[in-house]
Amino acid sequence: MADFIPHTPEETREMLRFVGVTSLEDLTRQYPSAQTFPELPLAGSGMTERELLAEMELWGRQNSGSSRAVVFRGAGSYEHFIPEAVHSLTSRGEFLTSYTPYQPEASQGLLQAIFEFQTAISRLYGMDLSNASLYDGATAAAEACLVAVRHTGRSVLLVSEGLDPAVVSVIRTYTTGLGVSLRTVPLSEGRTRAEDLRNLLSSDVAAFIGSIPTFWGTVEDFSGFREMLSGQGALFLLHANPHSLAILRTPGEWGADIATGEGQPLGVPMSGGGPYLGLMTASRAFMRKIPGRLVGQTTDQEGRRAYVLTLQAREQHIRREKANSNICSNETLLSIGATIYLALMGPQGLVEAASASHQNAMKLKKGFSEIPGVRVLHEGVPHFHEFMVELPMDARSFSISLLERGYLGGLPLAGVGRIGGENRMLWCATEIRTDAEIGGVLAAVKEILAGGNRR
Amino acid sequence: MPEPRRYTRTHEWMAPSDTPEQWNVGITDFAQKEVTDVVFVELPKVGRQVPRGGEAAIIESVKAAFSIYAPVGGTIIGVNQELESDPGLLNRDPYGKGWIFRFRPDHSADVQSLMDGPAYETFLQEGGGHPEHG
Amino acid sequence: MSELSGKRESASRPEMEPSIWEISRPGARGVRPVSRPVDVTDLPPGICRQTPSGLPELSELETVRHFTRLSQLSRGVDTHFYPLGSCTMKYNPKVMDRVVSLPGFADLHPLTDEEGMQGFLGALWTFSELLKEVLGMDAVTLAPAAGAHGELTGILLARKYFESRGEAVRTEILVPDSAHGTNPASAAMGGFTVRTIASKASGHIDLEALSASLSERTALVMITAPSTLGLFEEELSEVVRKVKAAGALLYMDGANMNAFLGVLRPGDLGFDIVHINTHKTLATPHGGGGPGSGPVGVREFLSPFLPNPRIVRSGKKYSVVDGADSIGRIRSFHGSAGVLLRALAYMRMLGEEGLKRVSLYALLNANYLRKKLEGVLPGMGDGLCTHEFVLSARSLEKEGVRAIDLAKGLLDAGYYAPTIYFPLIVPEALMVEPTECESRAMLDRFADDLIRLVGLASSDPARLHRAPEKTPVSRPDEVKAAREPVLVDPMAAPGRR
Repeated sequence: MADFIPHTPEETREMLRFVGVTSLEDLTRQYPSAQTFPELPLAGSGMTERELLAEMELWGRQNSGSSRAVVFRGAGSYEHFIPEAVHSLTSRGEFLTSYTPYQPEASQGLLQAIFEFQTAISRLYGMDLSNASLYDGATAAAEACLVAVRHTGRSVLLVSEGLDPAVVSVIRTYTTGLGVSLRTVPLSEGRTRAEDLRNLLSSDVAAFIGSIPTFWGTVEDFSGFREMLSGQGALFLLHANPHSLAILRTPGEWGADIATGEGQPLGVPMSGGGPYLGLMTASRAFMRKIPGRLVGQTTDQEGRRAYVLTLQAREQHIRREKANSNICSNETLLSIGATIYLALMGPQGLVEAASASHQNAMKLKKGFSEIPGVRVLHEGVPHFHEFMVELPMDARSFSISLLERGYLGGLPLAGVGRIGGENRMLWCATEIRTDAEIGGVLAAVKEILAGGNRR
Repeated sequence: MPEPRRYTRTHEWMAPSDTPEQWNVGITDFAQKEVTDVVFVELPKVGRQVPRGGEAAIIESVKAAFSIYAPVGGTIIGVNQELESDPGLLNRDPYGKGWIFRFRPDHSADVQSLMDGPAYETFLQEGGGHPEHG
Repeated sequence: MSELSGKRESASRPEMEPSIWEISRPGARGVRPVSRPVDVTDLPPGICRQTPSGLPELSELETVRHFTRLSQLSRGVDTHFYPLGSCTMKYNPKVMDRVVSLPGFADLHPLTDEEGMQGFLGALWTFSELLKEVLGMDAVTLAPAAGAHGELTGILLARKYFESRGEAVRTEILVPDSAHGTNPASAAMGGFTVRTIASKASGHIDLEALSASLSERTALVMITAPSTLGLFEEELSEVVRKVKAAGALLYMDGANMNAFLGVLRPGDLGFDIVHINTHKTLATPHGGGGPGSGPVGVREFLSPFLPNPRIVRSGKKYSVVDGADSIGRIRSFHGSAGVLLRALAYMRMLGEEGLKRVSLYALLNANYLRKKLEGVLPGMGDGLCTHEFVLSARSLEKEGVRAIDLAKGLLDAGYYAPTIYFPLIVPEALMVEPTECESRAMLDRFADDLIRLVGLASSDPARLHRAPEKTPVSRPDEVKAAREPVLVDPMAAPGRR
């Protein structure tokens, strides 16, 4: 049993005497005595470090979909190369065990790291500014929608069918109590047709939110969207994979008002789905409207450069029910990790990783297109590092067959939106996949298809 | 505090502008001191109708936000755009260049129900409260 | 402010680190992600990036040095006593860093087929069971990413529950004026009207004010227990009775759960919904502001509405399912597993006895330190405090010394500072939470230093106004920062390089 309590028995006795109580239990006399000290049978009798690690290793070993599988799955969480230095530096106790830098003088390094994060992310997205992070990509998109609703005073959100259905689900949850309605802007062959957007636009529309790339892997051309939306007084929101922005046109270049994203591809391990890193960037017009912490550069009393949390009057601890969000704790450690990742990669490294991801995915896609009975969807439309295929069999059992062969294949899309389907899968390849692995998974696919639904 | 400026218990002032039936609204010297350095003013939309006591604008200091209420019912007919680039005007010249918005009361008689200068002075001396957090 | 202005040379300040863009060298490379770079030529130019990303360019060593130096310009629990009230800055055991990097966790894709993540699902399911037990609740969701996210979840649960009963008229949430700002902000985000309940002078809930605000429109009453003043609500059972009689639900903000852990359960107290901050009570690191996580426990009648997806067990198999009556998703995937697994490991390591000792020693340390400071600055409450206590520096105002000056003095004395100016109902508040992890020697030293600083308020207030003098910078100009915000590094401006 461990408890990380430093007191010796003698110290405990002396401290109790000093406080004027007879025992540790006596300190709880302020609590209703009928309810104190419940039995906790599940809590067990405690463990040593070694026992703990043994138990946790056992849980870990029961995850065959992890390190023992070659990952060809994305759909919002991506396996990229993460330099060792990211983990090493974010493990430093001054970053790991500090909290929100309310005392700027004692947190200059942390504040500067966040400021550098804001700078790197705003540059990557081509936007004027970035906040210090939100919980994950989905909540960032939802918060952007709330900014649009408040800013315009309107209650309709046009949501692209290209957006991750899980993100749409979170937007729906976040707006449910606020009288906001969501309308889907359909995709046609993996892209939004301008006339579909035009037909849905009205003076009730707060914003349109699109995706770079789409959940289904395609890359859209948003030319003219900005003008169409601002003509109706609606905001243009884009939810973008930051990794893709090394090579794809940025939200800023498309004219977005607010751009969000899931920062996980920037040096954050997949970790079963979290903690992840919500990114929010905006044009300067929305500087005081966006939620989340912001670090600003200023000077100290003697004119030295200094960093502080700023524009705090937007936030819950000051404005309470009138705040622009309830967010307090965010994902700072991961934002520092992302900054370290981006610094290590540099502009060239990020382009190389994104380009290799794209090329590997295209190799895999070509491989699928040559397998009889398999149909690659959205052929002829540009893709980043994901694409859809339709199999001649149920994708879920197919996926399990692949897992048994050591591959975490594409995501089965049964029940995933209108574009999904029982036989459809969303495949992904990142820069870390080798030609041998791509060849290997294609061979496994052929083998499973040849053997039917063999388990 | 020259007449005919009028005051609210929430520390706004209201004074006739150069045009009839149009009044400027700002915060009092007492209020600007309580607020400390104003860093941002959220100005209302021109044309908005605000009931008496309704929130018309928000001013922010580093550590707080304050609602500015309409002294009487009326319509916002202009705003002091200089505050966008220089919110410190509110501290430096609260009764002059630090005015916040221009206002047309629904009923000009309502203005007479507000405190005059001596009454506001008395109100302050009697410990007339603090600006309300927004 | 005359003492602060004017140039003062100070030899004891550590040097600031240049901005990463200042040390960036065009053409420098850090790591190489691929051995054979490829050019992308098949994408139409119109959908490709038009301008360079402007990321910094450094060697790996330069990057490592830069961020190591930045870390050295910050303080954490690992380096300093961090008595930040309401944040429970306890020791974060190092073994937990190892736990989350074990094979099978860090590298697990969240959408892995259930068959390939049984261990992961099993571990999270086990953690929910442990939380149900210590919270005294019937069901738990692990999804919320932080305390405030848990609050929003709880509020949406209440909305969905009342809708299901045809009681959509319940549109109000009552929040005491001593509450964390997240409570009213979460209520507003959930689409509710907030009514603030004024506290009594003692800091306790005013039962009359509560009764006056409770009505058939009340959906939820949010109470922080123990309160943000470090006091156990003296009439809690009466509060519970009144809220239930009004047909409303009772929410416990569990930010201060370190005072109850293993000793008192929110469910037994009568709460319907509770969130627990794992980064406070269960020793997961605060990460400079996050990640945290804020699991929510509820009574059985609210469980149909819990967020999707959910982990269930049937026989020996764990599955991920969606509930038809759920409030929906509140984030992309299951939860902040990398945080939750640390919290699970902490609970497993401590066991029943260890969990109880955590709260008992948190009570001991807080009461000990409070007693040491008795008579130095007035506090709230006259009996025992819980895991933290609030002092008021108002008496120093006559010397022109404020809570912030004491906080800055504490930085110079080699600590992080307590929470200041919260709760809002205490003027010049200093909120001190020592946690169970600090030794008596540290508490003695801290008390001596704080007493010395309070003494300085009359003997040498200018010294306090100048503080901190040993940090990399003196007090930053926050007015300038807010009036002319510089939120991105001007050195990284597009087209600069």
